[in-house]
Amino acid sequence: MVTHTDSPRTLRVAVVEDQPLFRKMLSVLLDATDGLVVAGEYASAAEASQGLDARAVDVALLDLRLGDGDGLALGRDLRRRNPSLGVLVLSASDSMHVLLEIPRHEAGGWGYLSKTSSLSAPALVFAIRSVAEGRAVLDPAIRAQREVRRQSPLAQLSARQREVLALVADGLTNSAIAAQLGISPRSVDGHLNAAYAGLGLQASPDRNPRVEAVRAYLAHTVPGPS
Amino acid sequence: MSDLAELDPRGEQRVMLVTTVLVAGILSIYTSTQSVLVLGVFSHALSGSTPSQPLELTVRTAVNLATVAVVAAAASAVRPQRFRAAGRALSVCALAVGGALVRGVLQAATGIYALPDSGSRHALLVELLTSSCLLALSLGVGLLFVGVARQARRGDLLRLAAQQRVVQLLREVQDEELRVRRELAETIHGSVQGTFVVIEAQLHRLAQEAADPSGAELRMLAAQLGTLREGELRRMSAELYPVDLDRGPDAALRALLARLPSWVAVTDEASAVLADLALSQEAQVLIIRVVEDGLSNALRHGHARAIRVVAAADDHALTVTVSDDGDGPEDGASWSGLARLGRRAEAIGGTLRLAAGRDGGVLTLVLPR
Repeated sequence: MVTHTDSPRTLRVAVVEDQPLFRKMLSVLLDATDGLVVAGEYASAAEASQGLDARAVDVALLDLRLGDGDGLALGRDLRRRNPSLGVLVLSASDSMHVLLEIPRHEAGGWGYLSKTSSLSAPALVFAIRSVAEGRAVLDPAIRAQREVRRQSPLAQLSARQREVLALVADGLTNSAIAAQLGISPRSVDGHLNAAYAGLGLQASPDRNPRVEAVRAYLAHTVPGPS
Repeated sequence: MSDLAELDPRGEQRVMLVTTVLVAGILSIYTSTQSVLVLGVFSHALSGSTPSQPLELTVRTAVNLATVAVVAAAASAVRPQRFRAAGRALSVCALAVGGALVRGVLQAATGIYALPDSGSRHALLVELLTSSCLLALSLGVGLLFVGVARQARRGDLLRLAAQQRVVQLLREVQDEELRVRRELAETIHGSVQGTFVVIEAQLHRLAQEAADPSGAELRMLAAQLGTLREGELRRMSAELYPVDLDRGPDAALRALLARLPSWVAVTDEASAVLADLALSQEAQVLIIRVVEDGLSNALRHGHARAIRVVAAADDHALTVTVSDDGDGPEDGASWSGLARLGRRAEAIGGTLRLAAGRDGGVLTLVLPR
């Protein structure tokens, strides 16, 4: 394991990946990015379980399929130790639906990025910052290819409401969505509230409708034809 | 396993007693009938001066059958079949002589033989000898049948042991096959696909550094690798072992349904039920393969646009149904995949049925719990 020093304003990122070359590529990329520092590299679930101090990192980058275990289970274990930890799951294939296995009340701060996207610095940095802030985020490149399931609650929403939800799933804030769609933040708010109502989502102390909406988006969309 | 060891004590006891009582009973009736009706033997002490065939026959038969009952009770207590050869011979002799003595006492008591009469005493001695021989014969036949039953039972046990061994070996082979399939699928899903990602990334990096047309070719190669990784490798992995089954049957079912085309409406009332059940790996694989086959047939042959998967469990059985709104199963169609899955279901005590539903087909898998 290689440990690096960090500064107070920098996000500390742990990498758990069993493939040495990919792990190295990620670390090089993270170290070369302002505001991020690699707080530790781990080659297996066992190594991370024993050596990773969850309270000493802000975000964990976890391979979904580690040679000796499951990245999702490891992520949940780390979150129990540090409830504010952001967890970004990486996978070589589109297995985004696995995020639905995370219980609703734990779903905030979880993200999914394909390994291909994770090697693009802007996508990786954006996803890391999003999960660190407690948002649920899906890989925008994969998300863009997904199609809405027929007769699902998502199919009942207007095209604009689905568009706004898709951008929420990408991890964008309301102001970023407004800027991207060329509408006002109030309009974004309106579309979002209508979408929440259409999906039957309500805010409660233990349920964040924004996170619930991302889950609904994931549950009611499917990978497009490859 | 010794040839003399008791394999089924209660069953052998039953064979011994039934055979002995039957043989001795038949001999009893035969000898009484022969004495009274054929040889015309009468006892003056019993019948007085006027011979009475019915009375004579009744008393003699009753004495003989009572003797048989006493010998049967004694044989039930002694159980000669549990001894080795010498013990059997001794116990049979003792039972036969004892039975003959009981018969003699009964004959004397009922007046068939008058003891003060020297002729009667001589006849009684002869009766003791013949009774002993006939009772020994009856007990011997009983032991012979016990031997036959024991051999048959031994054959059954050997056949059963052989069948159990075959079932166990088959199960071990299936477990090993599943293990190898799972490991191969995990390797493909994990490290092989991961390696492809790394190669794709390196190709993209080289493409950025190279001028066209080499750069374009490298990008095209990377794209082809991506297609191969996401398409072929994933398919190969799924064929070896259901995707996400290592996370449980609920996760595997969700992964399966998540791959259905978007124009298919899906109702999942199964994954939440499956998540709460403790199922063998064999049963989990079977459930996912059955649902997979049901979905594939509904879409390919039944032209379904809506699919519903339901699971229900009680203390005795788990029922999983896949129903659709398509054309339903075609008459006379060949369902080789379902037949194969049906045999696998039967092997673990379950059933698999495809039937026409209200709208389309209904595939029902029932597994014991």
